[in-house]
Amino acid sequence: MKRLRLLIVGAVGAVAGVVLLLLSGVLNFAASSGHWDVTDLFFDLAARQSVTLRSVGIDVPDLDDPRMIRRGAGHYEMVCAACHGSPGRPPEAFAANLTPRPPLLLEQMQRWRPAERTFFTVKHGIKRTAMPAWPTQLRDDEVWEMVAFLEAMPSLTTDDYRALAGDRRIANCTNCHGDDGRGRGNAFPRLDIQSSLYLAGALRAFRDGHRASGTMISAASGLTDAQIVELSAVLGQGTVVEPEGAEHGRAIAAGEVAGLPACDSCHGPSARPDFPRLAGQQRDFLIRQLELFTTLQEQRGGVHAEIMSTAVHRLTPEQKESVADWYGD
Amino acid sequence: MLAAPVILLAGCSPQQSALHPAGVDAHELANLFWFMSAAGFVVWLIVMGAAIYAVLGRRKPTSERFGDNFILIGGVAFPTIGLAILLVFGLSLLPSWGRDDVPELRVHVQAEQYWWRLSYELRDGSRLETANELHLPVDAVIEFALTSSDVIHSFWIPALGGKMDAIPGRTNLLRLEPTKPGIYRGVCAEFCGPSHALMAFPVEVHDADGFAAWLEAEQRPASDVGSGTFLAAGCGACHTVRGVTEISSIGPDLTHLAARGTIGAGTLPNNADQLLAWISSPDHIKPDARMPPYESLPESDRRAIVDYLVSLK
Repeated sequence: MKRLRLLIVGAVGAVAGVVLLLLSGVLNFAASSGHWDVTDLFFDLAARQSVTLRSVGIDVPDLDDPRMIRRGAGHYEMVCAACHGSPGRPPEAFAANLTPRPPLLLEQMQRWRPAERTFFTVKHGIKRTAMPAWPTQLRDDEVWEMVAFLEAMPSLTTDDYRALAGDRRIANCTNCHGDDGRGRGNAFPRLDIQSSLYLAGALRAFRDGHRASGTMISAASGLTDAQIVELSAVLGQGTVVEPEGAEHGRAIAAGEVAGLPACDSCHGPSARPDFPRLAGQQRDFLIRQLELFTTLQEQRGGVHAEIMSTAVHRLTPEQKESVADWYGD
Repeated sequence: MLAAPVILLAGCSPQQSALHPAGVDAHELANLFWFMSAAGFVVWLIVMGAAIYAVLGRRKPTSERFGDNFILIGGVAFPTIGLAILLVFGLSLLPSWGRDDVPELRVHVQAEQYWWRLSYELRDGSRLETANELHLPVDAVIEFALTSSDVIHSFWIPALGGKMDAIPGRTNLLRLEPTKPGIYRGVCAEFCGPSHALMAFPVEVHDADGFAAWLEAEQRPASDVGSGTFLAAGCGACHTVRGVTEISSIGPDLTHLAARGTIGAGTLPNNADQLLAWISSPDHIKPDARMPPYESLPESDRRAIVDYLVSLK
């Protein structure tokens, strides 16, 4: 009986001690104070094991496409380089004052293998660190592009890197979409073929997080309405491109294939200016958007996403290829 | 308290009632119904009478011979003869096989989830396509060639006759002969998906002159005045408006939409407010409808589209 009492008193005392420790504010949570080695060890190990366990069973796609690396590079320069550094440029000064300190990926990428663990980390981020999750959980394709770039980064020279990624300190849009808005390296969508009205709607959707793209959500975040109008006016040239290509794609676009809505009705030159134009657009981009409408449906986002996500189901995979061949560049 | 009987009585409206026949077949079916019901009532009276007699009647035992005869007559002869009479009467209403006389009008009906594509065969052999509202001449034999583009539907105008399935990949022929001008209601009578109950169509039976006038009006092309917003929004990707856009016929023909009494295949009354609601969000009105919602267009543009639709008399 006496023993039991001692046990109870001990347990209550221990709980009270922990509560007191928390409430008293004695524990130092200042980033400037750093971590004890043992705390570092604990959190590092926990994070590493968590990523390892949860990345089991993730299938790694082919990561060698240079356009994937290029797209990943654009995002890296825009978002990641400030904390993790990039070839030829150290991290911003503030990164050194983060606790835990972001790893210099140029030197440490080898520790983040295999690719599925990198993928999991980039997609989901790490708790209680400055590492954020990808801005949308719907776009694994974008995350894989980042992984492709990260795997390639240690072998890049400064010049290679600048050629791929541009410089965020100079321009966010044209780094990827090119000075003329025609998309660099055949890896990014063309903007010059769109109307300024369409681009403004798309930018607002990205900024407000309604359209699923981690890269564009990051790029458009913080833009004011006035800035969006200004950017759209410059980038949206309304350049008209005459599509050319296989007969089958032309027939689908013109509505000559039974059971398929005519693409041209909404995407041709006489359609509403706030509907996107397709003629001259980057081919892979068209295919990917068709896939996104199919899999994400209206969650793909954008002003008129519900219209397209209803129409897209009528297209077979082969028909999507044909249409992209017809409109695409 | 009042609501329940009122709702029940709504089922008695003659537009969609097999008991208010307005066609040759419907008359025969109604006669069959009344004859069968009357005969059934007589049989019911006899059986009930026998049951009451057996319980309350005289207690004296009957002879064995009476019992045998009673079973023979009441249990064998009476049902055999009675059912045979009813069967002969019922079979006499079966349509004759392979009629080779030419109907006065042939209408091709393609049932689709969840509307009716109607195509009139004209005298010169050409076709006139319309949708979701059937116009017929009185006292004429009309042949419907029924098919479906997706699942099995069933074409039924209770006031005019029996129903027949519309089956993908084959054509079923149904003949009807309306006898009384008026407005009736047809329905899909085979469950075909979430909006099966919203797949109906008004049927207007005209006198001969009235039908000729309708047919002539229906053949006129539409005007493109005010069609700008309608066309720019891509409506022509699925809808035909003869004389204005004839690229595609995935959805219902809209050439004379404003002349129809309902929209959404008998779902809503046809007016500007309902049209606006419909193009904004068809799926909310009619679950699983194939048309995309145009709620993302500015309301002024949607109203401009509705203005054009309302002008399609």
